[in-house]
Amino acid sequence: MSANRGVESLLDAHLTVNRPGWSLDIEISVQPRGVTALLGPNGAGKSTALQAIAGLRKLDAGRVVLAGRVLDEPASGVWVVPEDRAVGLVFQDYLLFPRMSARDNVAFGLRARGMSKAEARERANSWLSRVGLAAHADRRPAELSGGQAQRVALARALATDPGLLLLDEPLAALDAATRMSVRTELRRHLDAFDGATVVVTHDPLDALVLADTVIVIEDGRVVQAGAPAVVARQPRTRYVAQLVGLNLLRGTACGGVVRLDDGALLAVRDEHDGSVFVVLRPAAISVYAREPHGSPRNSWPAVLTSVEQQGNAVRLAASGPPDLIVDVTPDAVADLRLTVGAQVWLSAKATDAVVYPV
Amino acid sequence: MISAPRTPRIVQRRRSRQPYALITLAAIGVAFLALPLVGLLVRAPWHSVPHKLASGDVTTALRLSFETATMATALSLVLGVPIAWCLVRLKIRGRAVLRALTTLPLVLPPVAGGIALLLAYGRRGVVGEWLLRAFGLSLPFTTAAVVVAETFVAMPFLIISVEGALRGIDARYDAAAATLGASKFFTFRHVTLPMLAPGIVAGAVLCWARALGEFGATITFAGSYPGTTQTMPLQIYLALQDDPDAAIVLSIVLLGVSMAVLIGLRDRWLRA
Repeated sequence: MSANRGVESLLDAHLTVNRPGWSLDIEISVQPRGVTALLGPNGAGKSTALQAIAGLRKLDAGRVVLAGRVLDEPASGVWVVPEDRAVGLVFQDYLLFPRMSARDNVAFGLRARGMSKAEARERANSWLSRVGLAAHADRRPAELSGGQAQRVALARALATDPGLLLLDEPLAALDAATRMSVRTELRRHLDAFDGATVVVTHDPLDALVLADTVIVIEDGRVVQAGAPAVVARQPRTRYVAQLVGLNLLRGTACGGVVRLDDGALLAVRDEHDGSVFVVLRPAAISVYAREPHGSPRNSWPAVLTSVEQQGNAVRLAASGPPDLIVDVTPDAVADLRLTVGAQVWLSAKATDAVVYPV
Repeated sequence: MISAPRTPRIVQRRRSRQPYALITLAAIGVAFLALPLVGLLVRAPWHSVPHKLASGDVTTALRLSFETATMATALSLVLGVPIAWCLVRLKIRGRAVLRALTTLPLVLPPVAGGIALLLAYGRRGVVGEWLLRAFGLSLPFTTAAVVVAETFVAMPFLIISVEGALRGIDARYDAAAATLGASKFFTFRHVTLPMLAPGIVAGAVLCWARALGEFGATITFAGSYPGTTQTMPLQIYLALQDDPDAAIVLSIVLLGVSMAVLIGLRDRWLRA
């Protein structure tokens, strides 16, 4: 996480929160205009991290520094209340104030800072038109669609001109069709925002589209961090591999051969030594009814444990070793009579195996 | 022998059968509550109603009841809503004790409440003696004492009602407002209060109705002086001793007015 060192980071946080039987201990730093995604399964501690940065939960140790100002540091007793932090937070379910119009929701933060009603409303109007909702200014939250409510919540947070914007699962409450367009639009607003942004999500696509840095959290710890494309291509945990739909195998490399931890041998193109990860795309694995002979140097007998239609492909889960997921065409399923319990042979080309050190 | 097609019919009959035990008990309960009112209407000396109503005493007492009940409700709103907020939103130690304390008048016999008020605010009372010496103020047996007695007895109704409504409001709205830079008080006024409005109105109606009917604490702490402390319930009680017909007429008037106010408010506010 020292990727940002050398460049002045806007947010510099080391978050430690202890709860009975669980703890969060992660470091986050975000540069100005940077967007960092916290990616992780439910219960990993993503939302706890956001709450700690926003000041809705106190740290047990560590510190939160925003633009050189210490906001929370238990060791020195510094604590800044959330209303004085200049940190905007968009909640997963938006929490728009139900008894106010969209305009008054957006104007709320400005009014709270003592701005006159007329001026606050004018600013709110301009924010609403920026998110394309000028015509909906008088509507109550209950009269807005999910996508519209999300944009009002974003405008409400941005209207207070925060130095740091926190988004908690910003697209989780939307249906799949809306999510696409809102995600693209959100990207546009984040590009225009000159503060730093932290997005919490469990959807790798959010991280890929919105963020320039991804921090993967599992069980309160950072398990991987880096550029989204790298994280997606070279996952380091089973969770990330599953998210991006890849087979992640671990083993010990000796030249062009990897002995996988489950005992299988895998020939690879590049030579490595020591502990490595191996990634195999599900579509790069072939299925045969009998032991194959020919160019693929890697083949293993396996038993199918599930067969499921996924879009245009059929996804198979096979029990090896190694255990793999495989994507095949519906034709192949019919030709090879692929059913649960079927005995098959799986093979992969050495050139399709991506290998990188642990 | 079990025949399969019969099963659905049995299910259907089961579903349509009413819970007669519950309905019977409810009917008995309704009769129990309604019969005294019926008795009041049946035995009312209707021929003398216009005459009784025309007397100044009734209108004076009625007006006094309305004014004091309304003031007691206002006082309960000003003090009770913040109490409810503190009970729900503040993490304070001894909250259970505080809640018990603020709702104590619900279980305390009103007459005992009146005696307690006398001991606190009477001329020889803990606070009253000081009030008298420092400001020359004497509370007991004044209209203000009526308001104090009614507030003491009726405010817990408001507190309980508002507290319940407040519990139903997501505390994360406060968190959202805080991240937007709003102080707790600003948030209370602009976010919490509008969301709380139906609960506050319901509580205020209950509180007002309770204050309007207050008898025990009022007669103990404020006495029964026509024009200053003699509210309708007090007048009814006194009339019962020498002119039962007048007591009946007064009861009907109080009943009619209370019903009219409650029904009017219910239609506008209390329909969830």
